[in-house]
Parts: sequence; structure tokens; C-alpha cells
Amino acid sequence: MTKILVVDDDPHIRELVCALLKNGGFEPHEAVDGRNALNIMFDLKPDLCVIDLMMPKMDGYELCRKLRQYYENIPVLMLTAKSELSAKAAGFDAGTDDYLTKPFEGDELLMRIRALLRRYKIEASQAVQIGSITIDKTSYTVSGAGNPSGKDIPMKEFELLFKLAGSPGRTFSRDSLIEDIWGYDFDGNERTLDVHIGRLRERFPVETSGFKITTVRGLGYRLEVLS
Amino acid sequence: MKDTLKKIGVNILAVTALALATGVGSLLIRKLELPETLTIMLSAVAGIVILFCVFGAIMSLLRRSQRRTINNMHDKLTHTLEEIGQGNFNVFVEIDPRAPHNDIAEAMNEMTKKLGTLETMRADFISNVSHEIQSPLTSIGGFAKLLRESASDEQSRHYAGIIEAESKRLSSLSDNLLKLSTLDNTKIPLNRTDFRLDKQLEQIALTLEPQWSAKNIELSAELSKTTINADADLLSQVWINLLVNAIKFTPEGGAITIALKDNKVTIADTGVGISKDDQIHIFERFYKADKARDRSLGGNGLGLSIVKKILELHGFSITIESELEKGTQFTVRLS
Repeated sequence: MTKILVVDDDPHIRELVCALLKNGGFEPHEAVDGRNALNIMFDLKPDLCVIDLMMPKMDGYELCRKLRQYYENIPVLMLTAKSELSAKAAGFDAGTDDYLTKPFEGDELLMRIRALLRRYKIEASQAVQIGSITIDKTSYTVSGAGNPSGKDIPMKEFELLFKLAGSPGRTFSRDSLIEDIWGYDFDGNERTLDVHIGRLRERFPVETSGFKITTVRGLGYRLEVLS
Repeated sequence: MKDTLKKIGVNILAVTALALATGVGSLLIRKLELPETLTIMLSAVAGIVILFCVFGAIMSLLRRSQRRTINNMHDKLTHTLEEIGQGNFNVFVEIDPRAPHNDIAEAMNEMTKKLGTLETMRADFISNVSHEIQSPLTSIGGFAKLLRESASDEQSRHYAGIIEAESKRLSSLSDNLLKLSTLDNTKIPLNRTDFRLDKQLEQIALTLEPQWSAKNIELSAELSKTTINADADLLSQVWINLLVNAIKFTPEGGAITIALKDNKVTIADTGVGISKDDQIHIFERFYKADKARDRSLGGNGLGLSIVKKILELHGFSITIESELEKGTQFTVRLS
């Protein structure tokens, strides 16, 4: 079971987060402050940490920096009552992956934790499974029922698909897709992106692939998995 | 001051000596056939005249430069006072040893330092109050929700649902009140920068995606490249409030459009709409167009007041067009 370390000095919030995580199918563990968390970390080896910001002895920023220093590849989510933009920016500076403010929706917490775990898993394996296909970035191949021929697809199309499939249901802005796939200095035609999306749609028809790429007019594209 | 005067005095002496020497010298060289006494008298007179001229010139120069240092200092002090008046305590008057009123400058520096600390304390206080209120509300709302989901009888579920909804309402009320109190404090200056408004709108629309896509709302945008000068944090609050409202009052499967063109932002929805009678009041604090519906949606009638206040601070304006059951369109003019 996926182990999650919950670090918060407020016992009620700790209990609440743990109850939510348990309901969500995770195995929660508790720590009362930053120092306590670091002591537990070594033996526990959790898969993800949910940390509060304002804590005695060692606050969340400090803890996050220490986690980044001593542990590679541990997803961190800050859960805090500080909603000011400056606090948020400081959190990301300290190295957190995500930031959620109290009061939060239990479902949103679970959704974000799952998205984070998924992102780290993809990063570690360089492979993502979506609909009826598996996209493997180590060999740049697409396999599975959705791509029976197993034919290679062009590099840029592959990267675009890999990016969209990494976060299904999330809309990526046109600019962020162009920057990520063609680079900051891309000065080609604005339509290049649409052409590549069009080719991907042709290559992976909804009926066989089990997913579709939706246009969000004026904003960007998102990949949706059909259930 | 004394040092400068001494230096100027030495200069005057040197120039006078030079003038006398040249005057006498030139007269001697010419060797005019005048009586000796007259020559001496003339040279003396010439010397004195030159001396006066030089002395006058130097004095006027000296006074002008002195007036300039006084004016400089005066400008610096008034400028600093204006900045303090606008709530900027991050100012410092440089001490100029040649200028007068350095004591005032020093006192002013001390004062701004103290005011600055006070302002930081005020901001910290607000942040702490917010933290202390939101933490227990998180527990109350969160456990009420767990109760609601696990309780076996209908009545317990209903009661737990009320606790959950009301704690949410209280939390957003506290959040909005603190925001308004900060905005009402006219001493805090806008943190204006140049930024791409189209990017800001795009980013906010995407951040709110979980909320609009959960209701199957079709969101579309048409944003032309626009750079504006404004307080980016505050302005993002405007778009968030308007969009969250649009999502809240638009039924499942509805549509929301965001457009930016010619320094004008429109946010339109196909929601429940607002009656003509209510339209004139919706920017008032604590006003709710549909009290029953608003209560169930957890509103507190402050979201649009915050929008209006932020836009006023910028000198921007907002108008509304709406028809019941058809939809609502807000137009923000950024000029």
C-alpha cells in the first residue's frame, strides 16, 4: 500500500487528513513537526509527504528543503492555511510539488495526491499507460491494442502525446505545449501544433485507442480517457 | 559649512593677489608718461575694482550653490513625505553633509523605519488571524463531511451537511473580510507592474478547470495579446471572483466565455441571470441577489464588492448586463 507521511502540529487536522487518506486507499503515518518527520522518514520510507507550513521546532519550508536535500524523488504537497501568494511562492521556492490551502476539499486532496504519484511514477519509469496504449519514452515506442501495427510515430508527435497523456483531463495551454515540445525559440507557424494534434487524432481513433484529444477553444488541448 | 567657507576664502585671496599683480604689472609695462603718484593711484584703483568684481562673482556663485543644496534637500524631503503619505515606508533620505536640515532628514529616516515595522506587524497580524480561523474551520468542515458520508440515518446526514456548509461559509467570510480590510486601508500602495493580461486570464481559467469541468461547463476563450500596468495579484483576484461566480451560477452543461480585446475583458455565462432590480445593488457589501440560492451555494455577498474595490483602486470600471434565466455578462474596462 502507498505510504503517506502527514506532518502537522494540529492533532485534529492530522487525524482528519489521515482519515481521508485511509478512505482513499492509502496508508497514512503521522509526524507532529519537521524534526519528528525527518526522524521517521529514514525507517518509514514513505511514497509521499503532506506537510503543514507553520509548525514548531522546524517549519514546513525548512522541512521541505531538508527533504529535497536528503531524499531524491519524494513527492511533497504543502497543505496550509496560508493563502497569500507570497507564501505560495516561498513554498515552491523551498521545493514543494504542489500547494493546497486550508480549508480544502477531501476529494481535491486525494485527486492531487494521485496526480503527484502518477507524475513521479511516469518520471521514474518514463512510460505512461493511457486507454489501450502504452507510451514508452525510453524506446520512443507506442504499444498495445490501440496501435496494433506497433509503427513508430514521429518524434514531435510522440512527445506531444506523452505530455498530454501524462496528465489526462488537464488542459495544457497552447503556449506551454509549444514551449515544451518545440522550445522557447520556436518561431514556426502557429498552426504547427494544430497539425500535429490532427495527425495524432487520425493515428489514434477514439474507438480503438480509448481516449480522445479535446480542443478547449482559445485555451489549448486536453486528453480525455473514455470509460 | 566652515570648511567650504575657508576654502572659498583662500581662493578669493589668491585671485585678488593675481589680479593686483597683473594690474600693476601691465601699468608698469606700458610706462605711460604720467606722474608717478597718478600711476600708483590708478593701479591701486584698478586693483580694488578687480578685487570687488572677483569677490562679487564668487559670492554670487557661492550663494547659488548653497541655494541649490537647500532646494535639493527640500525636494528630497517633500518627495519622501509624499511617498510616506502614499503608504510607501521603504524610503530613505540621503544625508548631505553640505545641506542644512540634516536633523530633519535623520528624524524622517527613523520615523519611516518605525512605520515600516508597524506595517509589517499589521500584515503579519492579518495573516495570523486568518491562519487561526481557517485551521479549526478545516477540522470542523472536514469531519462534518466524513460524518455526513458515514452516518446511517438521514437526519444525522442532514445535520452534518449543515455544519459542513456553514463552516465553509464562515471560512470564505473570514477570507473576504480580511481581504476587504486590507483593500480599505488606503495607505497600502498598488504594486503595479507590466504584465501580459492574456496569459494571466489563461492561467486562471486553467487553474479553475477542476471546477468548471466537474460541472461539464464548456469554457472558451478569445484572448488577444495585451500588456497592462496593474497590480497583478489584486487583478487576478478580480478574475477569480468573476469566474468562480460564473461557474457557481451556471447549471450543468452550460457555457462560459472569456474575451479580451481593446483593453476590455468580458466574462459571460449562460447561468441563472440577475434581475434588473438586483443589478444596481450587486456590488454592495453583503448584498445577495438570490438569498436562498446563495445561502445553499455558500456565498457571503462580498465577492463582487472586492472586485469593484480592486478595480476602483486601479481606476478601472465594471458593468453588468444580465437577463433572468438567460445569463450574465460582466465587462471590465481597463482604461
